[in-house]
Amino acid sequence: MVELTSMTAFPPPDFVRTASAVPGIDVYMPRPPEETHQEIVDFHCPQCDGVTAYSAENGGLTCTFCGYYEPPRQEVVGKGAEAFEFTVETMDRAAQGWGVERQELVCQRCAAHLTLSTDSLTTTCPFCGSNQVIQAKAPQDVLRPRFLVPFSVTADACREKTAVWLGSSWMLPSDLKRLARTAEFAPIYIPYWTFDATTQADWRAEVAHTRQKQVFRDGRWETETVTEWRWESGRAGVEFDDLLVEGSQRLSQLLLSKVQNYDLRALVPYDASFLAGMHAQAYEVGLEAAWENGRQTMRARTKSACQAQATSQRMRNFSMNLSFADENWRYILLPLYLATYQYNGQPYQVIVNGQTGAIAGQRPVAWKKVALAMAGMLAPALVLGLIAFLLLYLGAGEGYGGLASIAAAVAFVVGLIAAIVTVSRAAGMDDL
Amino acid sequence: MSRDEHIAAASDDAIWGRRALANCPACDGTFWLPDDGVTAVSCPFCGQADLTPLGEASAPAAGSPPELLVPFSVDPAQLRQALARFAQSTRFAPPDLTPQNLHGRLRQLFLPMWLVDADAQAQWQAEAGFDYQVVSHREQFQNGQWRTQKIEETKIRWEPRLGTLRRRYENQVAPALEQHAQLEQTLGQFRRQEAIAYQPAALGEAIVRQPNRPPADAWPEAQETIKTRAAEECRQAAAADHLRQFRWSVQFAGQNWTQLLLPVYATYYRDDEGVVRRVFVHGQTGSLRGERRASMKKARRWALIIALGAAVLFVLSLILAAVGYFQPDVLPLALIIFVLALVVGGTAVSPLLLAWLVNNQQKPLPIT
Repeated sequence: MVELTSMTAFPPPDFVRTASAVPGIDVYMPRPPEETHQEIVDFHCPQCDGVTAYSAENGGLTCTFCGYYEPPRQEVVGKGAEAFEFTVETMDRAAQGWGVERQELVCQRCAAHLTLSTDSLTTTCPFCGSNQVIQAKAPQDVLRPRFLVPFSVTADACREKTAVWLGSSWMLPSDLKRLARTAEFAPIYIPYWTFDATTQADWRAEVAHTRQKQVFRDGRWETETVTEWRWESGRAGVEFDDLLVEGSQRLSQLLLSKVQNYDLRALVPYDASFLAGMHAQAYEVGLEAAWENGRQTMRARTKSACQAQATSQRMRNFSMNLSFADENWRYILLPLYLATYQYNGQPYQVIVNGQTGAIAGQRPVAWKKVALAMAGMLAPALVLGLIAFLLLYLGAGEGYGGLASIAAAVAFVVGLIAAIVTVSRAAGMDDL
Repeated sequence: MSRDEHIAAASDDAIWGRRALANCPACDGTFWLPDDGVTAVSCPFCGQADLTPLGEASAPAAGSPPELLVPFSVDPAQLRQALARFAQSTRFAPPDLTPQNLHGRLRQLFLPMWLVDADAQAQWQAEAGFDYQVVSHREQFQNGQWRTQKIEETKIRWEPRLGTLRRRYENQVAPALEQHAQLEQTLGQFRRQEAIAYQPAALGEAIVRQPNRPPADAWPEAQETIKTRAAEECRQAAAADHLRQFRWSVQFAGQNWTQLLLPVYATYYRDDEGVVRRVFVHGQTGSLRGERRASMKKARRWALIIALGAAVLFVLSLILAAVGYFQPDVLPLALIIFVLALVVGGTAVSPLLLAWLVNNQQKPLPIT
């Protein structure tokens, strides 16, 4: 704050008068951020009036018609992005859920009436094609997305990656690559909660200690293992920084967990321009439920840290008292590409991390190829078995018959192992 | 007497009633005494000299009159008990230290504090703290199950605030005596909220101490008091729960100085050397602080008595030893009495030691 002695004007321009409860005393407080709220932000080119959209390639707004480029308005804040405490007020507000009033809206350009799902933050008018971003009612509302990681992987790059991913194994159908190049990758911002906390736990458990003992039994000495249970206790703490918890229930948690290698050092303050032309989803998993999920992870890791302190990992009557401190949260949007392709009339889903390009999804397995391969793996055993049978049956060269039998058995075992590995790998082609 | 002196005398009478001004040549304290007691009153503050009447020309101008007075509120029986306890609990008390003497010499004394009224005009800034509640969790894992306990904690959100202030502050206190801090440290705080409007009649037979600090000296402390009050008012104005780092740029005007009188009982006793030892009693709480002095004369007398007793025993043991030369049966008794004489002789030093300890452990009252 500026010192009184160095103030050129009083009150300073960034302060506004507020109510005073004592006559004769005037009180000024910092000016609250301007409420320049626009519920629907429409993006169009200032040069040609065409539609503008966020471009992952150059990180700003671009016009798809004339090539107009507008650089991003927000600086990267990274992990220094403001985090919020679990105030009673916030928790009460969060319990009320995301606003349900924004189901009907009017296109800002062609005045068409649009119906929007309550959890969507963006839309493209089907009549005029304009990109529109719907914002939370109050900019000061902590429960609106405050930060996001912008897209930095383009849809074309996603196609390439997907093509490589789909063509990376002989077990997949050979025409999948071609399908990947025609798939439509929809960019979508997925809601996430990040949680910070420090856990501190006091634990106590009976820990097993084994020792060898010589026992004279039935006329002879025997070695016996004796287990002694000793009480141990300790204190362990874990610091959690930006633990990610999904705010969406629409996508498979398993698939999401495979592409969750987001680098939050790229966080930028929320700006509607980052959402232009993209899909964006509002949270479905509320703050309290997400925090419950986050705490579940935290307490499991803290429990592991406590158990790691014990002198033996065999224990019983384990108990611990855990307390949380410095708990903070953020509501952020993270970039993801979604694509669905059809193969043999079945839909398959692929998701690509919009920041790192990590990929996960479903891949149809060419089971005929796998079956042929398995047959090839077991074929040597069959051939050797036949040879051994013939040699033994005809009685010619019994020694060779025996050798061939052994070779057939070995080939069978090797072939069987290879077949099992192949099947399990084929089953693992699908991340679900 | 000049006209001005007449006016001053008339004003003094109006303010203090019929009282005479006297000065202590030892501590230079100035006192208003009841008109009949100017002679042979020892200084109730330092006790080192008798008060000397001051000529009317030496009287201070009739400014800064008392405005408020905290009345004496100690129960007389409680006061008598406190004095008796003090006298009786002093080991080898000097002959002059008796409950009767302490009570007989008891004088009511009013000590001054400055009261200042001032108009303040300021620009201020501070950090205002607002309490808010956060939800936290404690979890317990036992018998394979988690038990969650939700707890609410209060935290403070600090926000900058600044503003202007235009207020009049009345009756803000500041020390009027150099010794005020030591006095309150020794006797305890006064309950100033019990003060009543000053009337000369309320002084009764009490002696009133005059300030030895001029308002100009006390002004910085008064400003601090006003600043503390202003900070509290700014906190209330900002509807904050806490306030810190309060700073202001202030201008004062319309200062008006008056006095607040605080009640203290003063009494004294004389030690062996005839030195006056002071005893003060808080006029509201009855809390007593005095200098404890043991009488070395009394201690010596006791030591002599014990030593004489030891000598008698010694002589007796010698006589028994001589008799034992002829009658060996009495020799053990002689030995016992000899040992007894040694023990008693050894304890003869204890009165002196105890008295010395009392006098050396006692710190003089910090009020001079």
